[in-house]
Amino acid sequence: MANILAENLSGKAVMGSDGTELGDLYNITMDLKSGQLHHLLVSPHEQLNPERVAFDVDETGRLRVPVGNVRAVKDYIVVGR
Amino acid sequence: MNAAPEEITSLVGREVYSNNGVFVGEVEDVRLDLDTQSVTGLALAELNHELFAGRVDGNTGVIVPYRWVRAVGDVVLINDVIERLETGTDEPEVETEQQAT
Repeated sequence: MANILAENLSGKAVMGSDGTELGDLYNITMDLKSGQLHHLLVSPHEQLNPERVAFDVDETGRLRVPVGNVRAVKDYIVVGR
Repeated sequence: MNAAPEEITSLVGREVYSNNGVFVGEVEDVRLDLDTQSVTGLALAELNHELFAGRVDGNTGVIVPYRWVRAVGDVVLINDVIERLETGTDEPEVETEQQAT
């Protein structure tokens, strides 16, 4: 995974490493000072039961996936669960 | 001391100035390295053509390394080396980038 522009990730489908479709990428959080990335914010798939995934859910119902969980980015963003 | 995390798209559209107050451009995109889990650069458009004269032509943007960022508030402040690109003997790290559209 080399450098990638954020615009190219926007709206990309996010899949768990077990093949579950989690949803679409909404945004990524970062520390403006250090440039460190924190979480992917994922708008969950309609059929997804957020209680059955191991990730935190923020106040707007989006999944918070630590950036360290990202395994691969191509047609999908694949995240370890 | 870590400020509350912000969404990366909040950077997009902010104006970028050097530490000396020279207008550089506007943030158009953010470059990420997912391996190191960090932001590595800011892609700028709407460039100050005077500043980049002879280096960057009309439809090209530049990417400045994120470590040059000094402050992010209502605007983004970056290291003033951006003003001395043409005099540096070592190749500056600013990369040119074709505009996406």
